[in-house]
Formats: sequence, C-alpha cells, structure tokens
Amino acid sequence: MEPRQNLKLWNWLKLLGLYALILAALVIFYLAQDFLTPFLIAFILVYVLNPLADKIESWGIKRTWAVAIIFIGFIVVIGLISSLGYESIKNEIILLKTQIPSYFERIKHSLVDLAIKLEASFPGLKKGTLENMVGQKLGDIPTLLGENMPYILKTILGLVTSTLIVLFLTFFILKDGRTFKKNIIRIVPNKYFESFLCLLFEINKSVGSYVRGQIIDCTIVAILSIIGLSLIGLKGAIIIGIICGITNIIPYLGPVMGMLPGIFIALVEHKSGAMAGSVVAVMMSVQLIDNVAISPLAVGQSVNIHPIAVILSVTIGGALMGLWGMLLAVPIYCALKVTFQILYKGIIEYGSWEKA
Amino acid sequence: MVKLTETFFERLRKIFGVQNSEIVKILEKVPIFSDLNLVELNKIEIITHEREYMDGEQVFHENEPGAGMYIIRTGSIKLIKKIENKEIEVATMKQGDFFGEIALLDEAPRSATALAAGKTSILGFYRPDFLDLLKRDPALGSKVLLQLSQMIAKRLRATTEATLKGAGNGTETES
Repeated sequence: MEPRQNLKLWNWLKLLGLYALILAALVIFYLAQDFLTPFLIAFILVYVLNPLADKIESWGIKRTWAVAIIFIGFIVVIGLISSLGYESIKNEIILLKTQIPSYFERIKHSLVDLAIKLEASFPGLKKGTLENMVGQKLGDIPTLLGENMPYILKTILGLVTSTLIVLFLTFFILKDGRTFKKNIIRIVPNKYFESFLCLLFEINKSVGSYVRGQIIDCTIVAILSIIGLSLIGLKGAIIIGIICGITNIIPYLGPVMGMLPGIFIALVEHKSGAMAGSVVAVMMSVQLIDNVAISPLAVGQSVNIHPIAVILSVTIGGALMGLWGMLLAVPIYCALKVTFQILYKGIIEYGSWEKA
Repeated sequence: MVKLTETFFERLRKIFGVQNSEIVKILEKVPIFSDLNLVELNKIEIITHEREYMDGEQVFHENEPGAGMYIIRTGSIKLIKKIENKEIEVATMKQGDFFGEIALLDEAPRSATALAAGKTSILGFYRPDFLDLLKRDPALGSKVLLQLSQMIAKRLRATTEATLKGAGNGTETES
C-alpha cells in the first residue's frame, strides 16, 4: 500500500505545518505586541464593520464599493463629530495640558507636607530624609516634560502613521478578507476540512457578536458618562467620559479603572471630596444602567459566559500580555469554548473525531 | 455581426471581472445552480473550495456530521454504505456529478462514505458559506435554496409514491 502510506505521511505533514503556523503566529504575536497593535485595531474595526459591508453588498453593490461607501461615511461622521465637538475637546485638552504640571506640583507639595508631618510624629526618623527623597524622586516636572518634548512629538507622529496604517489595513481586510481566509484554510488537510470550516464559522459568529456588542455597549457608556459628568460639572468631562467608555471594554475591572481619572481630577482640580463622591456616584449609576438595560441588549445572550470565567480569563490575559491581554481575554476564551464544545459534541454524538 | 457582438460582450465581461471560467462551466450544470446567470455563478465560484484527493482518500465518512456538498471536477468518487458489516458500493460519481447536497440544509449524519477513486479534484460548497451567502445576498441565496428544495420535493414525492405502491402491493420496496 505505497500510495496510502504516502497519503498518511502527507496528511500528517500538512497538519504539523498547520500547527507550526499557528504556533509561529502566537509567538510572533507575543514578541511583537507593539507592532501588531494596528493589526489588532484593524481586526476589531473589521469585526464591527463587516455586517454593514455585507448589508450594503446585499443591495447588489460590489464589495469594493460597499467598503468605499462605509469609509466615506466613517470619515464624514468623524469629521462632523470633530467639527462639532472640536472647540470643547480642544478646550479640555488645553486645560489638561496646562493643568497637569501644576497637578504634579500640588501633589509634590502635599507629599512634602505629609513627609514633614510624618517626620514630626516619628522622632526616630532623621530630619529631612523623607522630604529630600520626595523632592528627588519627583524632580522638576515641567523641565521633565520639556526634556521629553521630542519624544512626545515622535509619539504623536507615530500615532498619525499608525492611524493611517489602521485605516489602510481595515480597508483591505474588509474588502479582501474572504479571499484571504479561503487561501489560508486551503492548507487544512482534507480529513479535517469540513470540521475546521464549521468550527471557524462558529468561532467567527461568537467572537463577532461579542466584539460588536461590546463596542456598542462602550459607546453608550461613554455617552452616558459624558452626560452624567457634565451634569455634576466635572472639568474635562468629555475626555474622562471617553476614557470610561474605552476602559469599559475590559469586563469588571475596566469600569473601576475608568473611575480613577475622574476621581483624580475631582480631588486635584476641584479639591473636594464631595466632587469625588459624586463622580463615583455617577459612574456607579452608569454601570447600573449599563448592566441592567444596555449590556443585556447589546451583548445579549449570544455569548453565555460565567462571570468567574470572565474574571479568570481577564486576569490571566492581563498577567500575560498587559492591557491587550485583558482586552483579548474574553474573545479568546469564547473561541476556545466554542472549539471545545464542538469537539465534545463530535466525540459524544458521533464518536468519530479520530476515525478512519 | 454575431461574432462582433459576442466579442463585445466578452470584452465587457472582462472589464467587469465576470469570467466564464472552467469552474463556472462545471457549476452551471449542477441543478441547484441552474437558475443562475453568469454574474451569480461567479459569486458562487468565489465561495467554493477546490480540494484535491489522492486515490482511496476519504472525502467524508458515513455517520459523521455533514458540512456541505461536493461537485466533481476531474476523477471519480465511490459512495460506499456499510450494511450489516458488509461494505456495499452504492454509486460511482463521474465528472460533473454532485453529492452530499442535503448537508447544506442541516448537520445530519452522512448516509454513506465517499472515497476518491484515482486522483480526484472536487469543488466543495459548504453550509457555513451558504448560510453566509443567504445573509449577504438574499436574492441569490434564495434562488439556490429554491432549487435545492424543489430537488428534495421531487425526491420526496418519488419516495412517497414508491412507499404507497409498496403498501398497495403488500410487498416491501427498497427506497
């Protein structure tokens, strides 16, 4: 049985190749996290925009034109938002930019005061040690900022290029994604092809609905936070609201992280504990509305994950890959869950995952 | 004159990326795609997968969940069914034949094992892609769905008639 022997070997080689490819992708992903950020953002955008592109395509418009229409619409919307909100956002940025050095000064002063007080109450400590330490560690913030100006400029320049790269990638993945996918899954051995295709479809469905739901959810949370924070009169409400929306993508831990900048501004800029209290109250009520009304509708029952699993995966993701790990933890968990469900079903119902 | 218009249309097709490729020629002979025009056949071609099989390699196994239908491009496929521990060859499929179309509708287990006889190249048209097509291009999707349903209705009618005839005669018939 010469040809059969060859066949088996060939199939094994193909399968090994596939595993090697996946492993290499994961290693590259882990090593080059920073480079891959635009890719990740592009993928998230593709997930969000794909149903829209499909919808436009269903009206009988070619894919390329459908994607072009979405892009033009996207740019118009961004343009409208920035032209409408430009003044207030600019004011907030200027406010933060001019205030941040003085915030640091103020924090430094209060720390120095605290140090003096501590030294007074603990006679064992040498006079001036703590004070000097605080002074040395924090240094002179405005000069620090000035020294780092080239670096900041570079970052801004990098941001512009990354934005362009993200837009470029999104356009082409949205337009040619199906062909890419077809060419990649071509190497899957015949034996596993059917199962692999079905698996990919299910994963796509589950992860896609999660990501889309989460993005809608976050937008609404951002809007609600901006409204709430403006009502209590917090300075920089728009930017802090947007930060809240972004951090809300991370389940459970995100909202707490989003609360911190608001509390910081309330304590340092408004210098009132009452303000900080109302910031917390606003955020809590936004979270309450989100959890009771918005999240069930936006994310829905499509992704049925136990809270413990969510917290575990977010913690593990955070430990492995920081912020990105936290963001990606739940989608990856979804994909793994679907995979095991399908494998399990295959084994139990048909008992034939490794037959023939 | 006829030739001139033909070349003109050929040109137009090339400009709009619509090609009368080899795969399209195979697809248009399959009953479930018989209603489609060239543009639509091109859309179907994009979502089919070309698979190569060696002699004796298995396309799918009896009782395993099915994921889609196959159309033979070159070579041939043997359908084998296991009845009381004996493997019986049910049918041999040649170029242009298709099989496994019921798997487009649901995940029911395959009713037979399909093996490649000789080096065989087949086109796979899978349920996930079909479901995606139904959502993305409902007009085209429902055309295919309608043809598929008509084919199954025809078969069901034949089976019902055979059963009725069998009941009338008082003898058992195989269907």
